[in-house]
This record gives sequence, structure tokens and C-alpha cells, in this order.
Amino acid sequence: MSLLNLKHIKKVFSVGNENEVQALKDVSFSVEKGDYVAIMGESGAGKSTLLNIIATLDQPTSGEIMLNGIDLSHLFENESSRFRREHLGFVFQSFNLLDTFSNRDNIYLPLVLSRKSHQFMDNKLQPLSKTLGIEQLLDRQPSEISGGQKQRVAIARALITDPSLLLADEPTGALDSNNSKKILNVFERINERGQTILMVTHSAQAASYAQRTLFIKDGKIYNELYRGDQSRSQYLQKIIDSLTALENNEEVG
Amino acid sequence: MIQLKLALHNLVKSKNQSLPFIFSNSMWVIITYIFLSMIYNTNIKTNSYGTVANYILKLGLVFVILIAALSTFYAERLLSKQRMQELGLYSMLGLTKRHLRQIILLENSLFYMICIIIGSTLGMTFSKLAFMSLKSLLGASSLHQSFTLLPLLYVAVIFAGIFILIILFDFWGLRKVNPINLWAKSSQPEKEPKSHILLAVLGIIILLIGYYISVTVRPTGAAFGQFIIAIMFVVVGSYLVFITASISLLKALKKNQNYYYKPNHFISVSNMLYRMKQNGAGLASISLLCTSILVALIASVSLVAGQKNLINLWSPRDIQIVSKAPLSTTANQTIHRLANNYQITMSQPQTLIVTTPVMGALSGNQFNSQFNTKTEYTLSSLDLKQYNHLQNTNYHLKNNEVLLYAPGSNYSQRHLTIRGRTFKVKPVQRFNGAFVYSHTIYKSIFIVAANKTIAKQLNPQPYIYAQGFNTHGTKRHQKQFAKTVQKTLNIDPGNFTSKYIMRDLLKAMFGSLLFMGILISIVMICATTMIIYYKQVSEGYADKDHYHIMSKIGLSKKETKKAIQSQVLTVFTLPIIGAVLNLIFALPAIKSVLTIFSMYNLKILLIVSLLTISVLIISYMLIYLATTTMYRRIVENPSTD
Repeated sequence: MSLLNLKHIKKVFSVGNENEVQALKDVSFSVEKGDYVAIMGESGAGKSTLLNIIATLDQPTSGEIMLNGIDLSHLFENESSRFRREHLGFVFQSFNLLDTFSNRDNIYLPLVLSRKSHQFMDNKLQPLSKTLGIEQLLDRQPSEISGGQKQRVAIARALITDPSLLLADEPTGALDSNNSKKILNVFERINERGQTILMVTHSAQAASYAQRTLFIKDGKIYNELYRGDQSRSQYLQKIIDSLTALENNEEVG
Repeated sequence: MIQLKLALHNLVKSKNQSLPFIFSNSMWVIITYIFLSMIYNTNIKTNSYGTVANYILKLGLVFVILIAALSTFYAERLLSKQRMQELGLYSMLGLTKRHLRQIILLENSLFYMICIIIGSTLGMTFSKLAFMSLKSLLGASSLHQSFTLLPLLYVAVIFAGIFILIILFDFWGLRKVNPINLWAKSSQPEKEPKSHILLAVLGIIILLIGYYISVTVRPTGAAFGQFIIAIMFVVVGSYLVFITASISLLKALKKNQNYYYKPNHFISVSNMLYRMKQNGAGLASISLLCTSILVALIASVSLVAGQKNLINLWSPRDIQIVSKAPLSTTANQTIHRLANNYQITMSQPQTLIVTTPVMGALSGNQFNSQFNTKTEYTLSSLDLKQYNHLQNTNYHLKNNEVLLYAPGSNYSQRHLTIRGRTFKVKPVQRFNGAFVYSHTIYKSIFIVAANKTIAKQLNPQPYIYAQGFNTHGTKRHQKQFAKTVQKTLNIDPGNFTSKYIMRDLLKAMFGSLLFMGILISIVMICATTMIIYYKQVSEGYADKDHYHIMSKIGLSKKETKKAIQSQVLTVFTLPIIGAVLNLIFALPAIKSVLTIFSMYNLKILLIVSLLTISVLIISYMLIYLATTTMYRRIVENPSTD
């Protein structure tokens, strides 16, 4: 069984209103364990809505969404908070680190909410901070480190709970190309270790690191690319072609 | 004029910060105005007790101005941090420092004028309304309010002083800064505050000195300055302690991993620590305001509760006439004639012969007669025969023994030295003949000696004759009778005491005092509520993003609620603890001020204090509940993202 399964997801805002917007019309796809999936599309195509639904921050108007065999469309508010904490990791474009906490405490936050012991958190953090190269940053405040470093701290926060699925929303959107590469390398590495990743992005460059790319347009899945055995530059070229076709509204095979 | 335009633009653009600033500042103007108008626009100081009341009002004024200055200063520092970015932009666009200074000057002048206009208008309205409604309610019919421009003038001058300080401070901040720094200064996020152990210790020391002064100082003429110093120390100390000690406390809590890494504590401790620099000042203001509410209420309510005792203290009989010689036969005949006229039956008059009270002070077991700022007592002496006769007792005294009647002095020595002679003291709890000579504010001491010779040695002043009798008849007649006797015999009001006349007098006077206490309390309660309200609202908006991010990561509504409760509760308990602590140290001072009003009953004071504290805590909790709900609504409401 797939890790994540979406069937005919539909999301309508302002139902019955004259401003009624169909953000998602009919979206179905599945993500296997260990997958690294990128979702691309223009602004307003429905990417964020889709991500919010998968993140249990929003609920679909109709359709079925299952993660780890749990039906996400019928979670109560308190259940969904707990579900997010235990099954999902988040990486945001704007990092969303809390200024009031040190970097270490930012990473601990989801574990503290789950009432884990300090010892447990410490044991978790040590190997993780090594992987991400943030050992030196832990006792500083988020305001004292650079954007790329912040994003690595944020990734640590997302991964410390061992989530089934890592959700990344434009993780490189606020970074320069050098830092973007570093972050994408990190994603690649953790994916190789078996972490499932779902990433929403504008950037063809970022998407070219994924194994699979979904293109969304007007609330529907428009196209799907697999990397397979292609080199990254070949794959990148295919993505760029596909995006061009998307903009020109052509069908691409 | 471009500078004015920019200043106005700044003010309007940052209305989220400038409106609360204007609001809280206007509130301080209102409070200061009300105090000033009570001092200058009422007839409160016309009697001798009113003078004391006036003196207390002036202490209150100093207290209010101090808090107003400190909190205004603090609020402006936060505001100017935001403003620096704008100024940095202007500077980069080519405005010189002179222009920037002009903008700062204009902006603060605008603030000043807005606050003064709003504050004094509301202050005048409020004090007028309060006067009309409370006066009749409390029977303070002798209290009048006039209108002069003096309080307005003073308010304008006081706040001009505060704003000039603020402007100078801003100029100083501008002086060393170049455009780049100005620009960078505000884009830097606020760092976690450092703990200043030295300042914390200094704060505690200052606070303790303030406490020490207020506990030890006696309410004599010289005490005014000392009280002001005590108030200043307590206010400054409170601010320092709340700002620094709270940071140290939170840091210590953070270090304790078992405490810190719990969901509620984790969020609330770090949130509070992050904002403690602003929080500390707000908490100190709340704490000091609560203290002032407690002090005002406790003092005025205790006075009213003890009012009955006072009448008996002043005069043991319905009518008492004090004179240098026994009443002449003609005078006695006049009194009887008048009694007949008013259908009054008189009891057998009794005459007490005592030496004319001499003013002085007690130090150790020594009584020194003196009349200066340290004067606290008046002492007079009488012989044992009179005392035993009056009290129906059968005391025996040797030549070196005396009976001591000194209510409100807590004299616990076994000996007393007067004019170089030492006597063994037997304290007595009752003396039916006790009275207050000339109705002074000094406490009376009566010394009963074995015989007249020794009594005269104790106090060589000439004898006075206190002649008293009780009257029976209708209330109206008794009052009229007393008035006519005084008028006909042409007795000085200080030497003539009638319980009926006095009851009216006291009712009016204590009504005025109660009025003052209640008015101050109402004003302070409003101020406290508003500070709390604004604190919660502004913090709600500041914390909103945090809670939003945390909910994405997996903080449920229930957990949010718990974290908020834990945070708000801590923020709320600290000031009330501070206030109660302040009150405990203020109680001795309150007690000694109350003894000026011949209120010696400690039990009444304690009961009233406990009741007042409970009422305050309960109302405080209600405000807490209301504002927590509001805070949660702000934090959890996603629609205004």
C-alpha cells in the first residue's frame, strides 16, 4: 500500500458564493515510501491548497486522502495537531523558526509538545545535527544565523520526530543559488536514507533533484515526469521543456 | 513644511504603536490632573485634618508623576525603536541630522499636545462627574470644588518636562548613529535579554531601603521628605526588580531542564523571556498601581471604620469645656438657663484638673518636651485621687511610681524619665477622663502621679479644668444647645467639645477623606485595567505568528489554551505578589499616618487590609479571565493574517 494516497481531491473556496473558486478540481496521485516527489505549477495553480490538505491544515471539499492508512479528511482539530506532530515534518519557505527560542529549542519544539524527556531529545539531536552540519549553531538564536543555516535548522526540526513524510513548501524560495544547492543536497541525502519527501517548488532546478515531478495547472495534475536513470542536467532540461509547454498550454508526452 | 508632514506621516503610519502610546499617556495626564485638582481645586485643606489629607495627596502626586514618567519613558523607547527605521530611510534619502531632529521634536510635540488635550479634557470631566456623584453619596457636604487653571498649568508643565527628557534622549540616540546603523538598528530582531545581576541586586537594595524608610519613619513634620524618598525608592526599585529580576528568574527556570522542557512552560517561559524588557516595566506599573489602590482603600476605609472611637477619644462627655479656671457661677447659671430653654436635662458636671499638656516626643524611656518637627505627643499629669475617683479604682502609688495612659503609643518600657526624674510605670488601659487638648493632631499621654505635688513636678504647667457633663433631649435640641453655650460663653472652639457638633464635623471630614480614597481607587483601578488590557492585546498580536507557526508544527487548540493560561497566569501573579509585599511594608506607615487621625485600632486596620486584598485579588482574577479569553481570540483567529 502507498504511503500517501489522494483520490479525486476537490477543494472549493467560498462555496455557493458568487466568488466561488475551485482551487483543486480533481487531483489523484500516490506517493510510495522512500519517494522524493516535487510538485510544480504556477502561482494560483493550487499547489499550496494541495499542500495544506496533505498537511491536515485544511480539509478537502470532497475526495479521499489517506496517509499511513489514516483517513485525513475526517480528523478533528486536536487529532490533526497530534497527527502533524507525529507523522509529518514541515519545511517552509520563510523557515518559520521562532525568535523566542534558541536554535536547539526550535528543533526540540515538536518533541517537547509530545512530552519527550530531555535525554531523549538530546540523543535524537546529536546524529541529526551532525548530518545537517549545524552543531555549531545550536546554542545561537535564529536571528543570529544566515538564511541557509536557518533552513538547515528548520529541516532538523522537521526530521527530529522521524516523520513518515517530509513536506517542504518552496524550501529554497528565500535562498540564494549557493545555499539552495546546499539545502537540495541535504534533501537528496536524507532521501537516500529512506526519508519520503514531498516538495512544492517554483524552481526547475530544485525539482530536478527529485525522483518524480508532478505539474499542476488549474487545479488538476497536468503532467508527470520521472527521473529514472537520467542525469540531473538531462532531467532538468525535461522539466524546463515541460514547464514551457505548461505555459504554452500544450500537451507534452 | 516637509518635516511636519513626515512627522505626521510617521505618527499615522505606525498607529498600532502610537495609539496605545497616546492612550496610556493621556491616562497618566488624567490621573495627574485629578490629583492636582484635588489638591488645588478643593477646600480639602481648610481644617487641620485636611492639611494632613492634603499632604497625603501630595505624596500620591509624587508617586503618580514618578510612575507616569517612568512608564511614558519606557513606552517611548519602544516606539522610537520602530521610528528609527523611518528616520534611517529619510537619512539615506538625504535629510540631514538637523532635519531628523526637527522631525523628532515635531513628533513628540504632537504627542504631547494630543495627550494634554485629551487627558485634561477627560480629567476635568471625570473629576467633575466623580465629585457630583460621590459627594452626596458619602455625605461629604462640606467639600467644595472650584475651578482654577492652576492644575491644568501644572499638568502641562509636568508633562512638558517628561517629554523634554524624552526628546533629549532621542537626540542623544541620534547623535552617534549614521544612516546605515539607523537603518540596521530596527531591522535587527530583538535579542534575548541579558540578565543584569548587578542591576537586579541594586534594584533589590533600593527597594529594601525604600521599605526600611517607610517602616521606620514616623509621621511628623519632618517626615514628608522621607516619605517622598521612600516612595521614590520603592518605585524605582520596583521597576528595576521587575525588569531585571524577572529576567534572571526566567533564565533560571530555563536552565532547569525538567521544568523548561514541558509543553506549557517551554512556550510561556521563552515567550516571556523574549519580551521581558517591555514586560517588566508593565508589570512594575501594574504592581505599583495595585499597591496604590490597596493603600488608598485601606487607609480611607479604616478611618471611616474607626470614626466612632475618635469621637469618644476627643471628649469623654457629651459636652466638655476646657478652661484655665473653674467655670464661674454665672457661667454655670447661663448653662442651666440655656438647658432649660432647650428642654435639656443635664447630668451632674464633673471636673478634671490636669496640668496643661506639654508637647514633646518619646525616645526610649525618656520624654523630652519639645515643639518641632519631631513632636508626636502632648503630655499632661494629674493626681491619683482624681483618677481613682473617676475610674472607681483603688490604685496605690509610691512617690516614684506613676500610672501611664498613652493610647496608640505601644509604650512598653517599665520606666519613664521626665524632667530628669525616673518613675516606675504601671500602664493602664482605661481613663474615662481622657481628652484631646485643643483638638491637636498629637497623641495624648496622661500621667497619674501619687499626689498633686509630684504631678506638678512632672509637668509644671498651670492647671486646666476640663468640665464635662452629659445631656439628654432631642438630637436637634442638644445640637442647638451646644452651639448656643459655646456662643454665649464665648469659648474658643479648641476648648469646647460637643459630641453632637463633632459628629457632624467628623462626618463631613471623613466623608471627604473617604471620597478621596474612593476617587483615587477608581482612577487607579481604571488605569490598571487599561494597562492590563493593552498589554494583553498588544502581546496577543505579537504572539499570534508564534502560535500560528506552532499550530502548523502540531500544537493543538487545547495545548495552545494551556500554554496561554500558564503564560498569562505568571504575568498576572507577579504584580499582585509585588503589590501585597509593598503593602505589607507600607502598613506601618499607614498605621502611623492613621494615628494622626487618632485611629489607634490595629485590629480594624488589619481586618480592612485583609478584606481589601481579597477583593482586589478577586477582581484581578476576573480581569485576568476576561483578558485571557480576549488574548486567545486574537491568537487563535486566523482570519486577520
